[in-house]
Amino acid sequence: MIDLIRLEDVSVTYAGQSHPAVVDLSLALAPGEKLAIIGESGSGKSTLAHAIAGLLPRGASVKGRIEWPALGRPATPGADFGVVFQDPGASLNPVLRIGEQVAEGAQRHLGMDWRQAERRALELLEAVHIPNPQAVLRAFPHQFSGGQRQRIAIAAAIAARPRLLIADEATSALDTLVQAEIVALLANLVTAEQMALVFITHDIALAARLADRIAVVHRTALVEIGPTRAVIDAPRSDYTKHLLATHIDLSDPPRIGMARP
Amino acid sequence: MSALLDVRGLRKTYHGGGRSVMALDDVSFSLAAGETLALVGPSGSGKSTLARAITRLIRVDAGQVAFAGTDWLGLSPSGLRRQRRAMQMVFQDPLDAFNPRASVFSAIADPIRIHRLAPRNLWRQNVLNLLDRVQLPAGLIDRAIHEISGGQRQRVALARALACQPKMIVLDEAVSALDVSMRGQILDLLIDLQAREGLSYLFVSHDLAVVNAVAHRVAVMAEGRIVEHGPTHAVLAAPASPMAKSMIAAVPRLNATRTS
Repeated sequence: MIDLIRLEDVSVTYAGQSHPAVVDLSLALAPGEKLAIIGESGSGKSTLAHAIAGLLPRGASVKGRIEWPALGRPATPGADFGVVFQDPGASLNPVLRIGEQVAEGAQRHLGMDWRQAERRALELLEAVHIPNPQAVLRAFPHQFSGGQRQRIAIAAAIAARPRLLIADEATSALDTLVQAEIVALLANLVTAEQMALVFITHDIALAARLADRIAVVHRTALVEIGPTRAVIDAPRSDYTKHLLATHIDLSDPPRIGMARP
Repeated sequence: MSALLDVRGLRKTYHGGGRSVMALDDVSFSLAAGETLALVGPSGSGKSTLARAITRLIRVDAGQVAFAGTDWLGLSPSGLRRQRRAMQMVFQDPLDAFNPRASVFSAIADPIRIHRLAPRNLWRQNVLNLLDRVQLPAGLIDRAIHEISGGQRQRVALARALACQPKMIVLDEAVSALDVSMRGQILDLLIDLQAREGLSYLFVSHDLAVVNAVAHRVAVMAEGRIVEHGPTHAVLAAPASPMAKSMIAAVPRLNATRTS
């Protein structure tokens, strides 16, 4: 199968920084594949996502190649890929009605007229399980909880039927219940819409729940990439072993003695 | 054993936008000396409101709190100033709690100065002792808060709380923002301090895996009420309430089957 996206020896250095944020990183993503990129803060995982999405700040220098073989051309943001961030406020415009923001991508990239785009927005709000979507079209982002706003941001990100959805810590600010719902929603949506998913997280157990493959990023470098089960059951890099060893799982024995004080 | 903290019938209703939300609906529980009670629940369940009510950051509509032998909610402002150091609070993001340009020394020495816990010539030694208790190197003492890592900042927040010689610390999502490896280290430190100094913790969290690691008992909140409480292992092994059941099912696990 032709890769959807291929990175070869990509290095990123932010303006004014002497050390690169990502060094010589290579990986490929197949169409429809779900890849989790995991790492701790400062590892370079978000830089990697921003490089793929062309969202690096002005002045950042990128070396190496980022290609979209399955497209045969550079990707267009919004049309070929959508992005959702940790804070849905970063993707949603506070003064624009929900219907307009969700419909915008469909109108701009799918050549729909306003009426068709609004119908698409309604469909999308249903697909992300927003209750009472007809009324929501006329509402504003601040009227919703963090979890609902994240659903709306996802609807807007996939409005133009992109081939790839990039979720950058998209569930990290949510409580466990809402996080589980959003992860299930993402898994279902990418399957139904035949999208690929790049899911950036610091939580290896969450990655395990969702991804076909896991890439582990540590101190600016890709230290391991492989099928989810293989990475978790037989990690090759010391850093992945460390991540797994320090993971706090619900099935771990308690750290306190259970003798009551 | 008599409780260090005894909370009875707390009620709090928020009014706004023409609606009323009952954030605390007849909440009662107690916490013994040397014990950790976890308050768990989803966003909006009332757990942070409860933590704020107990630390007197917000006023309740009804109910009583007995803490360390005082009528805690009945304390006058001057009484509260005298007693406040016995109940400390550590938040999710220590940067919010500090002036980022302040030094580690001044962040930790502030309560010693304010509560006059030691003469000025002993402050530096006290701060060095506190750094040692939270396992930070003495060399950090003159660094600025913004120069140190998130995990180190959370240790500084803990050192500042300990400077007050508290009986109890309210930890509000105190490890949620930390990287995984750091999270385990801070939990171990909390457990170690508790074992050596008999501290009580009210541990507010939405992360049941962390709660399982550190809490003796757990109270599960939903819509302003405690819907279930008991020993942590009992609640996690055999949850009775729908909220506890859904929260347990939602915890991502390394060995669980995939979502799709």
